[in-house]
Amino acid sequence: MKKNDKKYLWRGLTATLAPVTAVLIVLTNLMFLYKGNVDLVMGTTPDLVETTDDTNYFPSKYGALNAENLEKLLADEKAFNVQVQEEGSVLVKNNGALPLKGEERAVTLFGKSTADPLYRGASGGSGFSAKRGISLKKALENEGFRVNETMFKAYASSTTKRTTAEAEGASIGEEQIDFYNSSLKDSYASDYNDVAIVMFTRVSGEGNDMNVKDADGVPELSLHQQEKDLLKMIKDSGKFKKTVVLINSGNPMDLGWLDEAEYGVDACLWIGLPGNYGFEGVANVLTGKSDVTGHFVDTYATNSLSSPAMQNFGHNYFTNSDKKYQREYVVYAENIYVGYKYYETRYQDQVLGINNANSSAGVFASKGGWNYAEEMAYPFGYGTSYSDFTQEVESITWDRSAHMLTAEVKVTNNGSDAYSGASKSTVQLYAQLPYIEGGVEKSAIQLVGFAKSGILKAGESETVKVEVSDYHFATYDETRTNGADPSKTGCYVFDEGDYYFAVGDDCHDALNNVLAARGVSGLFDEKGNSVEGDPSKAVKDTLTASDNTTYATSPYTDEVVSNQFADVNINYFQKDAVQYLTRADWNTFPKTAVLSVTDEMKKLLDANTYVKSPDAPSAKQTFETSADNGLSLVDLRQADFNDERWDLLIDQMTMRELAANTADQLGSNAVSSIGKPKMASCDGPDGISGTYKVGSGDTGTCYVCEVVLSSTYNVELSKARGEFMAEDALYLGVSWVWGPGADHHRHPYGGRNFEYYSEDGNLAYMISAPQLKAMQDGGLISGLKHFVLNDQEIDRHGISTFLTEQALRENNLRSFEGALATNSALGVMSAFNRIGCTPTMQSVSLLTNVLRKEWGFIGVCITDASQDGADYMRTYEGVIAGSDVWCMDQLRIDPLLTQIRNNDDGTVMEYLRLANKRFLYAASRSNAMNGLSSHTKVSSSVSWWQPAMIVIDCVFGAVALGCLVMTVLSAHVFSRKEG
Amino acid sequence: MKLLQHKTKFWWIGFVGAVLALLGCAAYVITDIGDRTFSWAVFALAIVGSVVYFLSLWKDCFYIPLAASFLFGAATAYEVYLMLPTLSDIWNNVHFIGGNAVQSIVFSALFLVSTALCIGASFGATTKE
Repeated sequence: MKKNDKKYLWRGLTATLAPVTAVLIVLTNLMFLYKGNVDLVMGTTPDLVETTDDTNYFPSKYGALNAENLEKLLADEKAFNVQVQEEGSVLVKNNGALPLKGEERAVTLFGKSTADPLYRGASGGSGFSAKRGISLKKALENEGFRVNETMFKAYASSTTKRTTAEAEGASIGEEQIDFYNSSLKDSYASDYNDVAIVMFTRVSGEGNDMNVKDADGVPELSLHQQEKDLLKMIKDSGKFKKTVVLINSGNPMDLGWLDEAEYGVDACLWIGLPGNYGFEGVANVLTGKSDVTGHFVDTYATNSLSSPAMQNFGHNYFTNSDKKYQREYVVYAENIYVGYKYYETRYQDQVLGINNANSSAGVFASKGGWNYAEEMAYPFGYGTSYSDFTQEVESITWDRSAHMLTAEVKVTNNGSDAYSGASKSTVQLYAQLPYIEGGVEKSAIQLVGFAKSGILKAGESETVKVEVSDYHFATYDETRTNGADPSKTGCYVFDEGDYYFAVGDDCHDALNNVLAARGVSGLFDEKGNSVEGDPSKAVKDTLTASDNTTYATSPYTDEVVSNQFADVNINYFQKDAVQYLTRADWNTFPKTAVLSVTDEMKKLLDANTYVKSPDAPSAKQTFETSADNGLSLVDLRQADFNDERWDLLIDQMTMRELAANTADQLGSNAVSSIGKPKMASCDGPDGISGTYKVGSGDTGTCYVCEVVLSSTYNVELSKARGEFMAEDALYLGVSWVWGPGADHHRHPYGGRNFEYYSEDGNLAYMISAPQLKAMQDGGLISGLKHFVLNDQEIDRHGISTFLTEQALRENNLRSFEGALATNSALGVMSAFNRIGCTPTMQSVSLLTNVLRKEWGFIGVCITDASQDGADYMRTYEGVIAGSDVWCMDQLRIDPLLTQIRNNDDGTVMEYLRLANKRFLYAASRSNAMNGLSSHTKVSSSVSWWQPAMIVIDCVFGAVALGCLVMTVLSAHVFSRKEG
Repeated sequence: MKLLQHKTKFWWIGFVGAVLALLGCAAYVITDIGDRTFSWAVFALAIVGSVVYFLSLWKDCFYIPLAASFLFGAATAYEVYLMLPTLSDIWNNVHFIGGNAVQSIVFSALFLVSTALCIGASFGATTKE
């Protein structure tokens, strides 16, 4: 090589190594930023800790954490999920086709998804385990079915894909009718034709609401042409004795077509998303090995676009703003009338012939004016069983001094010719409140409680008791003087008048029972059949004077409950900008709201409001750091939240430790100064992410989805789910899970309805609390999410959400209240969206006044992945409002330190310490404490790959630098010497 | 074309890289749909890299291909930094982080090619001696 060439060689090597080093540094940075994710992938999450009898604070019920006991746990989880599927599936239609007879075992599975079922929604959490999971086909074969392999293989090898995508890109992934060639048709001509089992699937997920117009140009939840053609093909073939449809969707599909003769459907079973094991439960139901006892927790309208909430669904931008994360908004113009509260209230007015109920406003399926029978397919609470149950009301009593409503209902299993097994029956208790024309809005019927019977054989009876607080049917009146503090406005009230309490097979049946008790005639069911209602199932109680004092203060604390969210109503900023729906006139059915931003709103949208007060204390002079108080976190394991030692413990931390503790990275580092161990956190409403640390190392269990759980109406199963998740957490080495979800099924198109409980706040309240309490009792911190109003995924980052305070409190907040207000849970996750114009994570009204003061919540509040929304999710405002930890976000540490150190801001320091206290309080009640004693020395939690990456960066950097030096030398020094 | 008279094939290789980077920046300005997949830092690094390389039209500096490859490399690295969280969404089949993955991949690939071409140019004389 010529001497001159060497300088180019060195230059080339430098040019190669310098960018490589840059990429490596960037990768290292990313890995540190997402340390928790990398730990999950690399298997460097906290190891299972060694415990002694004295330090096993949250022991597994299965004994030592080893492979053998894990297998026992997984076996029980399987049995549990199968039961949930059986009790949560909803038998929508059955003309006697189900359960299948013993000889009906030769079947053809139709629908692309039979070969590719949707086990879980597209969001975070544990995935379906190919190793342990059970497909529909496998579940059927295990029950002795012979499945048409020709059809199955054709689906399995087809390239047609089911996709989620926003804006008309989503495809249901169903085959076109020409897919079914003659060879496929021949496959069921002489065999496999006992039953056609057809499965239709809809997928939604994180960032992916359902589309009102999908790739086929129709609403995603409607029956598509491919599906119509398929059903007709099956019917027209004349080969099948029965056609059974399975609905594999967490969102309520349009199901009005089930009764249309041209499709020939004999039975339909809604199965939701079955997770790892649910299909075994589906097979059990089909064969009659088990009864099916689920009831819908959502309204199934004839047309899924027909709800008032849908009229403001989708992208809405302020007319005078184009700034991302500030321009998006949604108006809950439906007011309190979400789901059944709309359809049933309007039905009552239709029967009574008042308030323009039969006008053309809001007509989607009716042929003339609005008609309930044409608009409704299956009402909230609907569900049938193989067994024939009767329910007789023995008593319903409202004890006003104890503030309890108690119903005793005798449930009898009358048996059935087709099903000889035992079964359960759900008692649904509803209330109708006195409505004063033009007064505060009230639904004509509302769920106030429920209970499920024990297992009853044919001929057996049981008196089921439903006991609920009357808080569940108090009405929030924004205009009423607060009875506890007359200087304030707004409180929960009981208006004077007649109260009706009724049981029913579903909400519509209960309403008809109430109307019958009121002597109203002209009643009909959702099919339009004339019915009389059963007045014996309704009880009237009259309140002679209105009550604005009982719930003028919180039922959990002594805090006065009054208006907190005036500026969440858009009309606060712009008078009469939106007409909210009122039952006083159904012509107020919502239209899409067109809004602009005012100057006052702009300031809130900027969200950058924090200015250090001149009165702020000095951080340096007021607060101690790095103190030697000799405390360890485990010492405070049972300390009350108000115990003074919490302050002493926090005094031991450095400023950086305080700030770093607020920065989640799918977990948090060990803090040696207070003996806090490394902790892992992760996602998982329907199962915790990660792999088991013993045994085969398979992924955590993927549970039957949340909406199926709530459809069981069984609080015992909810509790059991919490217990199993806490057990999972022990084996996964996880202390904090971001779940369950508790937002509202505001409309059918919500992308994450499958991992939220219901369209009804009271149901979500009651079904969530046992689960979260069981999780917490097992040492697993929850992250009940997304608090609050994250009811659509479209524009969820920064979207302004406007509604009335009554709707907010009675619907949306109520869904979270059961778990958080009773301190069943010690963790909550705020949402990406805004409440009004204020980001939820920096709303003082939400996170302090309601969550902490009214509800008495003392746990930790984490933001949603805030690094992703850093443009509007502000640091100081957040921590002061009550955001304690920033999800997957390391970028708040430096601003906090800067504000405290450079600006000596004692206010921020004070709230930072409070945030630490809440986080550490929750941590002290978690399984992370297992194995720790006062004497345990906690060392820093650096994963092996962290120093390794730094070494690699340094080596590459040094070599690149060396090459650069050689380049310079060879270009200038060596060449000169040579010259 | 007096300016190009003495340029070697190595110079032309680097030149193609610089032009590609410039086109990438132009495409970004025109499309501007890169939700969370492109930042002004990437834009600036790519522009400066191109401008530095174009300076070699007039001024023959030994370090220009090296500087350009470093700047394009840094642009690539930064784009990868922005892109990986978005790709993790696709890997996990969720929309957690968001962002336009396709555009990220296109820009990353474009700057990677620019970097590679300038690295190639660095291995030889860019001007006839």
